[in-house]
Amino acid sequence: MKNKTHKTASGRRVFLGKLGKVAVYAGALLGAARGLAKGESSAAGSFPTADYDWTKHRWGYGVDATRCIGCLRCVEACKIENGVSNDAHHFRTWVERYVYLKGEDKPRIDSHSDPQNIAAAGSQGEYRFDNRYKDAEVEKAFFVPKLCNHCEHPSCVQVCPVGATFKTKDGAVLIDHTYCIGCQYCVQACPYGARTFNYEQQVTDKCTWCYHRITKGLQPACVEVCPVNARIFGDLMDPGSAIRKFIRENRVQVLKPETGNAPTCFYIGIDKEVS
Amino acid sequence: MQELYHVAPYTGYVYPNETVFPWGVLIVIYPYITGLVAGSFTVSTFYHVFGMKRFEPVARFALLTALSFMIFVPTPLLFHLGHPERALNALWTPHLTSAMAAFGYTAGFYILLLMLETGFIFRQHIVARAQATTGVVRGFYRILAFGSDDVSENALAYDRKWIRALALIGMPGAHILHGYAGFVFGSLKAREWWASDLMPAIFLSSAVISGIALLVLLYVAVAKVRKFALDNECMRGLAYTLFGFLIFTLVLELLEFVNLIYKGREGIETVMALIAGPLALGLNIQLVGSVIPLVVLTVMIWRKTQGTPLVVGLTVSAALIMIAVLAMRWNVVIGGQELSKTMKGLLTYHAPIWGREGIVVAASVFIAPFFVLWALTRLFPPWDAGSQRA
Amino acid sequence: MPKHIVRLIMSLGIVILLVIGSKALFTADSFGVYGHYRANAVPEIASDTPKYKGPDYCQLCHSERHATWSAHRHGKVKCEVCHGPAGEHPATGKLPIPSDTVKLCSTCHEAMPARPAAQPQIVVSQHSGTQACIACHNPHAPRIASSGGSDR
Ligand code: HEC
Ligand code: HEC
Ligand code: HEC
Ligand code: HEC
Repeated sequence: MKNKTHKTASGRRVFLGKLGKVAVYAGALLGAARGLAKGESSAAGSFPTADYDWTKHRWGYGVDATRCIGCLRCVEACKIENGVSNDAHHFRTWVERYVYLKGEDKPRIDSHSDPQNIAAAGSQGEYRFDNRYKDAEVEKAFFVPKLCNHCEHPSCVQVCPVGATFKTKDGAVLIDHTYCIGCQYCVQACPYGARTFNYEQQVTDKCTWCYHRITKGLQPACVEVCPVNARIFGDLMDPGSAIRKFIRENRVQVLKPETGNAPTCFYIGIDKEVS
Repeated sequence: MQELYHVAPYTGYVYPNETVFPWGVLIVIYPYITGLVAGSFTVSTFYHVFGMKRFEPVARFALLTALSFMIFVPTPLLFHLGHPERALNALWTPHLTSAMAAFGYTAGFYILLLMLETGFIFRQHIVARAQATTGVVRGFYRILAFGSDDVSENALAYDRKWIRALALIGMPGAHILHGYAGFVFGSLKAREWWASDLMPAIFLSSAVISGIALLVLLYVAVAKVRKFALDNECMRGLAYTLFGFLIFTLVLELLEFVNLIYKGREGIETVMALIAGPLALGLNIQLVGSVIPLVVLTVMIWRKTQGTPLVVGLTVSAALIMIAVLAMRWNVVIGGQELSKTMKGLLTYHAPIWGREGIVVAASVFIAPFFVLWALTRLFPPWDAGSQRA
Repeated sequence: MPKHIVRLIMSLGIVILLVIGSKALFTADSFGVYGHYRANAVPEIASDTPKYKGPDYCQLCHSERHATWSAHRHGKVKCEVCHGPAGEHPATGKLPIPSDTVKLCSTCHEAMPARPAAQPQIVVSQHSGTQACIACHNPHAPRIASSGGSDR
């Protein structure tokens, strides 16, 4: 340091030097404190919980649209598991139905929030596709489950002005509900329509891949209840996982690849009209 | 539950989350107000930076207008936020990849700048008032004068430097503040109607015309009330700049529109349906409100119109432009959300009248600055020949 | 320099210091440790209690039912799809037994154009009308053996 070479410096110099030292020490202390704070969590072995280390996992999701039967048990289970508002306009996952009628080149598309489907279910808190096409001449029809794509380059995270939404080391895009200011910029930015605004809590809400489940070794609720394995979830780091098998054995694609968002939800069995 | 949000009707297929509009009429008003700030500040710089003498009569009033509106720029956002009490999170931890994160610091900086500029321009008046009054009023002016009554030539020279410097910094400041608002929309690839590189430029140039138009209206109105004659040269100057920026704006808007249609990306049919359907009224208002002023201004400039006909023509043009720019903000903010991200469906937005994000709140946010402006002109008379000319 | 300029510059300095100070003071504790967010939000989110417990949990106490169920066609239809999430069951009481089986079973079995052919489907009105499905089918072992096929 400079003041060491100036042993005979003037009083003012010495004082300034001392001040500098104080500043350096204070800075070092602060840094150490920060380091300690960091150390605490790693001292326990892992982050974010004692028996789950997020650096050891990289989650991925698969959707096999050829299997989906449109029972919407995933939508129901997701809502119950995560306490999502019980109405048709708030959800973390949804299912779309694409129906090409004979003689039409564009599909007719609907989802659980379609008024006719709500009527068929009986209320907005129940989920069911009505049978409106049962007497129609159908050329081709299928269901497509949808959810947050947990993108590699999430637009929602990019636009969040405060850092209330973020991507975890193990690949999930989460929202800090205690930090969200409720501007809904992320709702606008998501190309997939995966975010909704929770009007009771006045914060944005989205799929977490049931982060509280996957960090305990469970499957996300939607995957857990799917009766036909249309939803696949697993660890991309583990070569034996269901998702790696799914990707290996199928020619998977992602939704709206042109956005550059690089989803980590992989689809098979969808059609050009699915976006 | 149902009162908490409004479900918009739709045709075709829209994502189930789109039936509830994230941004409503408050976010229409927000860029409108920032635009008025940027526009009126620009007029004041014509004189304070570029030294264009013909704008002197309105230069200081323009500054007060910018300040009054700037004070209210954050209000539509605060009303819109789900958690306004957390708004400062954007200052403590601004996320640098977010266009919106720039708002806190830019707006704070810009309000400060406007206050300083005002303080310097009216300093002679402030000092005089501080000396002439007593009690609370005196205290108020003394604080503004930083406890100094130094109006020596040396001090005034400093003031002039600061005025120019602040105006010079303020120009990019105002334009960044408003260009950023355009970027907030233009940078979103998720929405075809917004995702345009021209968006910030369109926002800026339309901001300038709305600001000039507002000043024309206010200038004419104040002249009527205070019974002073309008400065013919100043009015002509306003007409010229309005004309110039109007053409620039229209060209940009046309370019953007043609680009969108010509590129004809996936879902172009839906875009055309949007133009013919839910957005038709708004687009027509924007069109009529821009084309009539263009014609009127062209004729007036061609014929070198003076005096009362100029006042009438310019006032009508200004009023129409104010409406057209408001319609433009609506067409961008609401139009973008009426076009579904699926590109296979359209929604129709119905603005709620009451409620936090209703028309009444939005209108109040727009009207409030006029009262503040009135109060400011009481404190800092912009029309008195006696106060300082910088 | 005139007095008011000096005082102005000083005030601006104070404002800047105040902003920097408050930024340091008000920035949330664990913010920025792993990225531009509150690191503690992650363990907070991870600490939620799962409500769906999975069939292995049911097996602990309903082992017989579980055995029947897993050996039959509904083995992929999880108990909690029909009975609702376990939550704190049995501490908080019994789980519901679905009463309206026509509604329950038809969510998956009603014949619909978009359903893949692999899914067993019936036209409810022709198959059984308003009769409860469990009048003939055992929900835990639904295939009717008398129809010829083996029950697996
Ligand atoms: C810790 C033991 C335990 C576990 C684990 C458990 N149950 Fe139970 N369950 C009980 C008991 C005890 C009863 C009450 C029996 C009674 O009162 O007849 C019960 C009752 C029920 C009933 C109502 C039966 C009736 O006759 O009304 C259903 C349905 C049920 N359980 C389903 C489940 C399902 C599904 C699971 C797995 C998610 C599960 N249980 C897990 C202990 C358990
Ligand atoms: C396809 C839907 C379905 C699934 C899957 C299912 N159940 Fe049931 N369960 C029912 C219905 C319907 C009844 C009522 C049967 C009746 O009344 O005869 C029932 C009855 C019961 C009962 C009450 C027993 C009785 O008849 O008194 C228990 C306990 C039970 N289920 C446990 C389970 C467990 C444990 C599983 C998973 C291993 C399971 N169920 C899976 C539909 C289902
Ligand atoms: C969550 C969806 C779901 C519900 C609810 C459900 N099932 Fe099933 N069921 C299935 C699936 C999936 C299969 C086929 C399993 C397979 O492919 O092996 C199946 C198979 C069957 C079969 C065997 C068909 C065959 O191949 O012979 C019968 C019968 C049946 N279910 C009846 C019922 C009845 C009765 C109920 C109501 C108590 C019911 N299911 C409720 C999903 C469901
Ligand atoms: C009157 C008795 C009866 C009732 C009530 C009944 N079923 Fe069946 N179901 C049968 C018989 C018998 C078969 C097997 C013979 C066959 O393939 O038709 C069968 C077969 C089925 C199959 C397999 C069809 C296939 O193609 O593999 C399904 C699925 C099914 N039933 C569902 C239901 C559902 C859902 C209900 C309630 C809405 C119901 N059943 C009510 C008697 C009944």
